[in-house]
Amino acid sequence: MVTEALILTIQVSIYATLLNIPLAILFGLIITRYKSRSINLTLDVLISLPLVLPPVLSGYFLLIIFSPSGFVGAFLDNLLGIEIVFTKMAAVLACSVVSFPLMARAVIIAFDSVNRDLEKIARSLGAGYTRMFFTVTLRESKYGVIAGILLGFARSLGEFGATIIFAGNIQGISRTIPLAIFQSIQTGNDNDLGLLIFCSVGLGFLAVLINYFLINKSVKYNRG
Amino acid sequence: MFRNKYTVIILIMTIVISLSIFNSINRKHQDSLLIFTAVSLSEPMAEVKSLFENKYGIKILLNLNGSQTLASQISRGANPDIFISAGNTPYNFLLSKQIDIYKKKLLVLNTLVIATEIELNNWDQNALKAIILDPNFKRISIADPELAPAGEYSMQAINHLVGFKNVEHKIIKTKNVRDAVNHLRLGLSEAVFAYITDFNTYPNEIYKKNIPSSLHDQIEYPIIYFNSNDNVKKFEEYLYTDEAKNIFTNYGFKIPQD
Amino acid sequence: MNFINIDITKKYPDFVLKCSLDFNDKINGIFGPSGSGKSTILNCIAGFISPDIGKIKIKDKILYEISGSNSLRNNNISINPEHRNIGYVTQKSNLFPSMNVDENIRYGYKDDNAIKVEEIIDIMNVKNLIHRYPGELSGGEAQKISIARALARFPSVLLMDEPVSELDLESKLMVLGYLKKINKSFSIPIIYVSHDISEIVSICDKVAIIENGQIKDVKNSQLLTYISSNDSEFENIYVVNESISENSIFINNIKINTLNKLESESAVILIPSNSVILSKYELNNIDAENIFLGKIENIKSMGSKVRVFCNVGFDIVSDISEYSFKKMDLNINDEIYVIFKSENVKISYT
Repeated sequence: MVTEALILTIQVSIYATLLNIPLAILFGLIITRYKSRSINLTLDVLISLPLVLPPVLSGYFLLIIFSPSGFVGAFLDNLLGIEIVFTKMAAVLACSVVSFPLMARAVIIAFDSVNRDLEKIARSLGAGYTRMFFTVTLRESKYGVIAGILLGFARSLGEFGATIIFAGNIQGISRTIPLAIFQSIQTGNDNDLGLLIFCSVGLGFLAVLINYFLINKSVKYNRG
Repeated sequence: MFRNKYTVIILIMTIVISLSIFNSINRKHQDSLLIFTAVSLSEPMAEVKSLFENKYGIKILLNLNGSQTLASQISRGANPDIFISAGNTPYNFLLSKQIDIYKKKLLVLNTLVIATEIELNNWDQNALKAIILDPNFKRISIADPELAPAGEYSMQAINHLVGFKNVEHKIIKTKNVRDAVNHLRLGLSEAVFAYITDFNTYPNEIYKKNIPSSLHDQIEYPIIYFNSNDNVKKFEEYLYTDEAKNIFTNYGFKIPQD
Repeated sequence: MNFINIDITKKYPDFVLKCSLDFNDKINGIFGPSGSGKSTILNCIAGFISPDIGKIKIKDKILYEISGSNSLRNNNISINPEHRNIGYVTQKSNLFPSMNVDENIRYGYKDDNAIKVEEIIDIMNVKNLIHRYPGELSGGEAQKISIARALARFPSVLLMDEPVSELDLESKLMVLGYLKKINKSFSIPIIYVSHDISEIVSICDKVAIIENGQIKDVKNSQLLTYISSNDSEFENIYVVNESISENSIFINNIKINTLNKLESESAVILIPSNSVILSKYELNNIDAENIFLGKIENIKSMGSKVRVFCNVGFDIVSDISEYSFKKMDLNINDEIYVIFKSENVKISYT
């Protein structure tokens, strides 16, 4: 049970993070660069919601929306014959939703810290918007963006509430380490519990190590 | 726009990510059963699952959680094939939400016991009443009747035996019956009211005494079928086999007389 | 020769910019106080800001044209900044921090450019810096790189927004020198924006004077005497470009005695207005070397001072106290003697 949970946790967290990266960058760009203040504010509030709401509630909203009788679920069911709830994809989505605000927020801060004049100059030098984004905006905010990605990943590792509601507690499908811990406590399985705690701490430690290593690199880069 | 090499990179990344994620997206067309099960039946159902899968080649997805949470999920659109709950309250909840139910049956029953690590004199002969009132039992844990059915049954038994008022000072209520058992294990109480099945993995030596089922409502575990497709039918048949029944009795559950 | 035409209007909540300017292919200045709209003009030319209506044209290429009329024959044009082929240099050098100098310079460079990168690096004299990172450069070095980077694209015009205002004097003069060199060698027109008169005068050929969003005047910088009502201390500024052998210079063919010999061909002469003395009568036997007879053209009260605009064959301004003004009873068109010592003639080199 433990190995299955470990592999599943890493798999789900990586997928959720990969899913979030382009969205976080896109929303980060809009919120920091788009001209309309009111739209930016609205978007900002919207993406912060999963941070403010209890994860279980986020899970419930996902369940309501994606179940076959729900708004999106009905569409998926009728048109594509797909049901997402209580699948691995649901676990990925649950992690993705709750960790998105953390990643997006860090990306916003990173993009905000980029000198706009640099972007203007890049464009005056012939860079279209896409080239300017990659060679200036992203390059100059690289470390902030990476830190945000790691933050999202770390949050996904520990995600419980939304997952158990939206994807259930199914071995091999959605029983990630946090859910496996819940399961062993409920069934009084102390052996598994000990191993799971060890894995959990280990993963968290790993995420912190990578973050620390990158911050050090950033210090070197900004000096002088 | 497509001339730009960066846009091409983004596009390729998006496609790769989407493809890799969608490999495990769909539950609908798998040859499988989604069974919501109360967590108190985790172990027997895990065994049932592996034997059934081997026998019939039909995958079982076992979603384990508190019965009320499972019922809430169902009321919010979750679509399991089968729901096994601890107690009837979740079932009544589903009825009140007008969820379509195909069939409801009784799966197993449980037995309430009082348990302790202390070896009392005359444990076997003494009446339950005397045991509850025994001064050695300074604290007795039970699940909170408002939060768990186990608590309700415990309260009913206590009322019948000694009257709650008389032992109110000794009773500690916990969030659920699992926590009550943990109280005993951690030394936070000297005795506990719990199900006989809750002691299957108890690490220390323990003394249990059954509470006669006449002293409380029947401790029922209904099984609710939401449809009657082939896989569900096969599962229902399997539950009637002796092999399946023995799994439950091994864990301390009782098979109801049909 | 009109190389560049701009005619734009832009309305802000508290300010309206409306100007019509023509520039040649030399170094053109836009001079005015902070907030007068100079940077906005550059931003419009570069394409970072769009005017409300107007037209911007470089050589024969229309960068921007919005007519504002609702006619069907609208040919509204607004080219994106990256296609306008302009070079933009800001006050802060704004070099890309994560790239080294070489990468910075090459950012806008294409191999089929008319000027080769190596040429630019040579001319700007930055070969020894190309492997450094922006964080390791001094202010003057960074601005040189910023200019080299803008040049590497072989732009049709170089826009400079106060490029030397943050540099120390030595670096300032050095960078200004390079600008002159570039304009001469590559014939790239430069539009130079600043609120510092000495910068403008030292390199610009023509200067547009802007105040509060409107162009007040366009002058030849040789004869520039700009008066802003805000300047409490005024300096008469003249540009000379001659080789001199004695301790004197000529402004408009009038000889002025200086303390020292000119050390270089081009220099900027500054005479503070509060060191210029006025006298109704000819004075003999005084220790000032420069005495001229001229006429009062204009008088402006500045509170406790009075600013007297005279012409002695060239324009010169004198600030005198209100008391003296009243005592002397000066009027416009009066004849007046203008006196100043040679030690008050300050010489500044480019």
